[in-house]
Amino acid sequence: MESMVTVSVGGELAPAAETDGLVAALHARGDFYDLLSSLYFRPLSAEQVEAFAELDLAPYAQINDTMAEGANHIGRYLARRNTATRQELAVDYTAAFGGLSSHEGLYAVPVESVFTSPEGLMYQQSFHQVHETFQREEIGRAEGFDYPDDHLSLLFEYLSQQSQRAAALVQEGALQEALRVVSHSAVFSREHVANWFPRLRERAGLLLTTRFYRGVLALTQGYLEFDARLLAEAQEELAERIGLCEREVA
Amino acid sequence: MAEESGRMPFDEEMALEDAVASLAYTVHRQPLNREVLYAILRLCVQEREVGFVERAVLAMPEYAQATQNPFRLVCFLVDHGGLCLMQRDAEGGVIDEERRAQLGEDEFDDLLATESLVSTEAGRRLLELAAPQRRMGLLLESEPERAATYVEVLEFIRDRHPAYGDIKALLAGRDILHAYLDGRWADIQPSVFVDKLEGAGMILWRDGWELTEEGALALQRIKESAAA
Repeated sequence: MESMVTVSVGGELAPAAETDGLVAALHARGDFYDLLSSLYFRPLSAEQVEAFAELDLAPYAQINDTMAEGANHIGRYLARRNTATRQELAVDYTAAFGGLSSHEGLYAVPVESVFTSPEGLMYQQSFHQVHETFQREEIGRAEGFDYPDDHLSLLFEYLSQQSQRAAALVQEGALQEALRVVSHSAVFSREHVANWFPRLRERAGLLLTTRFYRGVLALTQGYLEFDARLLAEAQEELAERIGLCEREVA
Repeated sequence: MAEESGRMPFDEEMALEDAVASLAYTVHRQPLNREVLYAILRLCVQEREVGFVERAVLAMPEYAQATQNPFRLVCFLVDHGGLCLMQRDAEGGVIDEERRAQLGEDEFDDLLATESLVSTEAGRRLLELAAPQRRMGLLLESEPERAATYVEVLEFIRDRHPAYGDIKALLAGRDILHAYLDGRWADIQPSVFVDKLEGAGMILWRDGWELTEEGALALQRIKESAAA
C-alpha cells in the first residue's frame, strides 16, 4: 500500500495524507462490511433493491473467483428484476436466514452459535465470547434490538466499525493503537466469522432459491478470503511504519 | 389460433371447457384481484412484453384493490393456464422447455432476450364468458325482481360517487330488502346489491363507489332499451 507520511519528533507519525493507501483500504473495508451487514440484517426494502441494482460490482469481481461468482449471480438476477423482486427476495431471506425453512432439520439462521455449538443452539459459547468482546471494546447496542451479539449482521457491523476506527487512528498518527485494532480485527474475523461462514454458505445454499442470495453468500465468502490477506498486509505496513518511526526517533 | 410452444405449465390435453372452468374457479375465488386478472387477460389477447404488462397493471383502476404485485398476478394466470409466457432469443425464436434444459444458468440468461405474455385459448374463452355485459345480463335475468333496484343503485353511484353508507341509506326500509329464501322471509343487507354489481364488473371502489366503463355502458344500454 503506497503511503505518504511525515515523521514528527515525538515518535508518532504525523497524520497521514488523505491519499494514504492504507487509510483508503481500511475505509473501503469498513464500507464493504457495512454493506454485508445490511444484507444479512433483514429483507431488503424496494429502495435497497434499486440501490443494489445501481451498485458497480465489477471492481469486486476482479478480486478473486469467488467474488466474481457472487457478482455474476447478483448482477444477472437484478438485471431481470420486476414488480415481484422485492417480495421474492424477502421470501428467500426469511425462509433461509429467518429460519422458516430447514434442510433435514438443520437451519441456516446466520448466528455463530448455531454453527459452532454441538447442538446447534443459539446463545452458546460463541455468543458469550462475542458479548465479552463487545463489552471490552465498549460497543453498545441500540435499544430494543433483539438479535444475539453473534448474529452475522452484528459481527460484520463490528468489523466495519473497527476498520473505520483503525483508519481514523492511522490518520491521527496513533499507529500502535491502529496496529492493535487491526490485529484484533484479524483474530476476531478468523475466530468468529471465517471459522463457520463456509458451513452457513453450504447450508443456506440448500434453502435459498434466488441467484441474488446465492451471490451474496459467494461475495461474502470471497471477501473473507481476501480480507485475511488484506489484514496481514495492513499489519505488516503498520509494523513497518512503527519501526521506521522508532528508528527515526532513535 | 394455434399457439406457439411457449411455457404452458397447464396440461394442454385437458379439454378446453375443463381448462376454462378451472381457470374461472381460481380467478373467481379472488374477489379483490378478479377484475384486474380479467383486465390482464384482455390486455394480453395481443402478445405483450412482461414489463409493458406490469406498467399497464399499475395504472389500471382495477389494480387499486389488488392484493398482489403485477408480476405475481401475471404468474398466477400463467400457472393456472390463462396466460402463456413466451421466452424468446434475440432472433425472436421461442426458447421452450426442451431447449432450456440443454442450457446452463448463464447460457440461458445470455440467450433470453425477451419475455412476453399472450392469453391462452382458455383465457380468451373465460373473457367471453365473464364479459361484464354478459355478467350483468345474467344477473338481471336471474333476479328480475331486483332489476329496477340494480339500475337505481347504478344511477346513484354514477351521480353521487357514494360510500357504502350512502347506498345503505338509499335502500333503507325498502321491501326489496326482504327476500323469500329457503322457504321463509329473511332480511338481506344492502351490501348484497353492491357485491352483485361489483361481481358483474359494473362498479369499483376508488375512494367511493364509481361505475366502470362497462358499468356506464350497461346503464346507458338499459336506459335506451327502457326508452325504446
